[in-house]
Amino acid sequence: MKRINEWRARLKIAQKLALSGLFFALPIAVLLTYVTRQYDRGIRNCEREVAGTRTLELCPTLLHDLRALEIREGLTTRNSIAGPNDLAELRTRIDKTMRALQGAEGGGTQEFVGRLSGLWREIQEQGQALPAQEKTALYHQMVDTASQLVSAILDDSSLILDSELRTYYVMNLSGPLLLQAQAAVAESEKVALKANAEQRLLDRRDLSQLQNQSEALAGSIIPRMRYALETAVRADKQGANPSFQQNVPPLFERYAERVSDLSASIRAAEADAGAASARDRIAATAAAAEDAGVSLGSTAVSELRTLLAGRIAGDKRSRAVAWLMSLFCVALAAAVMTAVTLNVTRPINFVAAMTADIAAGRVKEAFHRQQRGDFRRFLPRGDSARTRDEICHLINSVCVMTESLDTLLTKIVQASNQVSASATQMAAAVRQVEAAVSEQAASTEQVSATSKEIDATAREFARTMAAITSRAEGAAGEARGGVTNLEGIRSALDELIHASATMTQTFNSIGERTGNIDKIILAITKVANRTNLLSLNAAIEAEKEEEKAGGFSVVALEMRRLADQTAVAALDIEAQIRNMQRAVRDGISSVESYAGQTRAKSTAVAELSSGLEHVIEHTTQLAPEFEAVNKGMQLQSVGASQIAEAMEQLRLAAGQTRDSLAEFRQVAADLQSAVRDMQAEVGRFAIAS
Amino acid sequence: MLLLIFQAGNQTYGLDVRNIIEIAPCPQCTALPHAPPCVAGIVTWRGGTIPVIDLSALLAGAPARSLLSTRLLVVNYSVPDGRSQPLGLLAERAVETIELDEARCEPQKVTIPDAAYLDGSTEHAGKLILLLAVDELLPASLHQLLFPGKEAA
Repeated sequence: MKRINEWRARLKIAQKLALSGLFFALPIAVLLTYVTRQYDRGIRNCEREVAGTRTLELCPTLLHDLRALEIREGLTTRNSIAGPNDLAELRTRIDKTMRALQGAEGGGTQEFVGRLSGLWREIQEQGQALPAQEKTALYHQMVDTASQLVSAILDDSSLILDSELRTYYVMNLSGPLLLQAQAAVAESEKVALKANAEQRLLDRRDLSQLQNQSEALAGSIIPRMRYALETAVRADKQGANPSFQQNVPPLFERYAERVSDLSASIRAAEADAGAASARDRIAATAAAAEDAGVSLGSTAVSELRTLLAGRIAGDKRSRAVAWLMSLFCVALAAAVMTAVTLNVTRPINFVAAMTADIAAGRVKEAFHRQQRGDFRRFLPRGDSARTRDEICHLINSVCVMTESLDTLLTKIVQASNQVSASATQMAAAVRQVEAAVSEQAASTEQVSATSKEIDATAREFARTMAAITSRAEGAAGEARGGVTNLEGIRSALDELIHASATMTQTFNSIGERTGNIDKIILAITKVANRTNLLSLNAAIEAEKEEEKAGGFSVVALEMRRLADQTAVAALDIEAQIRNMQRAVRDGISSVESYAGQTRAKSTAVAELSSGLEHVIEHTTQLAPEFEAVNKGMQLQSVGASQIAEAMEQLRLAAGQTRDSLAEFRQVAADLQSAVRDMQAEVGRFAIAS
Repeated sequence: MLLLIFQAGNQTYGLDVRNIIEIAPCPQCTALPHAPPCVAGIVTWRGGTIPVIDLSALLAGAPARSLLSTRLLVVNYSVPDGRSQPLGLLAERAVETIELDEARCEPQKVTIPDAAYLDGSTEHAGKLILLLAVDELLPASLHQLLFPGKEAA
């Protein structure tokens, strides 16, 4: 099976079609062989029948002559009634017939002809020497052999089994039936001639013999012959053989007439047995009937030959027609098959060349080939879209496919160029954002350090305040204790003023630093804000791209994640800025009010000499003020811690942003390499535009 | 569907990003004399000028505050005669997008003639977000005001 498949794969379509055509031609050839053989057999049979009729034609004459000779020779030995010339003529005729038989015969009847000529030679050579009875026996033998010859001919040449009705009945008429009739007639003649030769009247035995023959003739043989002839004539109406229709029936009617004459003369002899004229009349009518029989036989046989010759000609004609028809059909089929094959293979070769071009990447050439319109000569004229030819559909489809492929490739090249440009832009944008985020991280750390510093300063300040408070309390106690240690109070106040100056200085530095933080946070916020804007716009673009192409979902997702993270950062920073600004503002105003109060207090302390009560009062009032300042400082410390925490969060967010940006850059790089691959793949196809 | 969310007053609104051409930082609008309160003015954009509508003024009655998170949304606005024009919208807290399943959108049930731009609502993270239809945003009187000469041309 595998080898058959391999062998089949090596064949072209045309060869396959030729092979299947061969399979179809095979039954035609077989049928033709059978038909030809059938016709040949019919023709051979007919030819053998014709050969048989040549022999058969001679037999009635031979039998008639033999019987006549036997009767006459038998009579001559006693008392002759016929002249010697008659006998010699009969012998010459028999010789001639024998030679004709030997010349005409071939095949299985040779044996009978040989035996006949042997007997005839014996009669000729020893005729005079033999006694009359032996000679008669020899004659009887000859007549029997001739009858056997007739039936042998009929058997051998298949005449008896002839397929055609008319030839069968003509043969039946001129063969066995006529032989029977002639035998009966000859017997009647022999009886009459014998009585005549013996110079006696017909006795009772002769009469009964004659009556038997007459009854056989009139009752059986002649009606059968008539039936055979009528059937043959009726069957011949279709063949319409005019010579047969004209010649045979009149001859038969004459024969029947002669035979009925013989019967009438026999009946007359019965009525008047003593009359010699009746006896002689029987002999005469029998002889006439015999002659008529011979002429009927030879004519019928020759007509039979004509019929057979017509049949041979008809068979040969039919055989020729069968051959011509078969050859014509095969030739026509071959022509149609060639046309169909060409019709199929040429367009298919064209399409194969075109698709081979496409497969090798030469889309441009295939497109030009299609544009040139070479394929149109394979399409039927007129509207090719309505044809039902599969090849036309194939060509149309391939043309449409080539056009679509060209358009598609052009679009892909354009699209991949665009995508490549977008990816490059995206990578650049991501690098920018990354730089901004790094900057932001650095700034954040700076802010964090600054706020920690603020925290530490504030704590130190609180400790200082606690010391001041205790000292103020000490001063108040001392003041209350007495006026003696005014010097101590003065020095304590000096220290207090000094500490206040330090505090004011510290607050100014805090205010300055807070201003710095403000600026830095503003810068961070701007960066975060811009990152958020950029990623929002990128997310929007990615969403739109996704609607168009569907291939950028990963990019879109990354964009959206980035946008969400920066949004939180931006909003947190906004809130933190507000918180911190408020805290710093609170701290500065507290310090300023404290500074103002301290300045007022120091003025007041400078005026201490005006009254200690005043001082004491002031000093005791100072403690709650310090408490308030202390609380403000604690608040500021808390605010600074909060800022530090927020900065930490911001730093974490920046780190995450940087991570996601790295991922994003990886995605963009992947996209770029994918687009490069695609471009390389598409570049394999040379396109028309 | 991707929504850009923003705030006007205390209410959160959402806008389909497919309508948005670009999001830009809050610009310095050039105010137009005698303009209605919801028209913030005009700004230059991509070499031309476009009108700007203050969404906070339009939706909540108070002009948008000048914060970093207040941004200009440039959208494609289809004028009723079929043309598509860029239009600027000022929106507060326009910093975030959310992915929205369209099946979860509630269609607008209460029809208010002066607020035809309300296109439904959805719920996100426990908040109710009102969806805006950009093309229904301007009342008819503003069409004549903002896109007058082009209709003649």
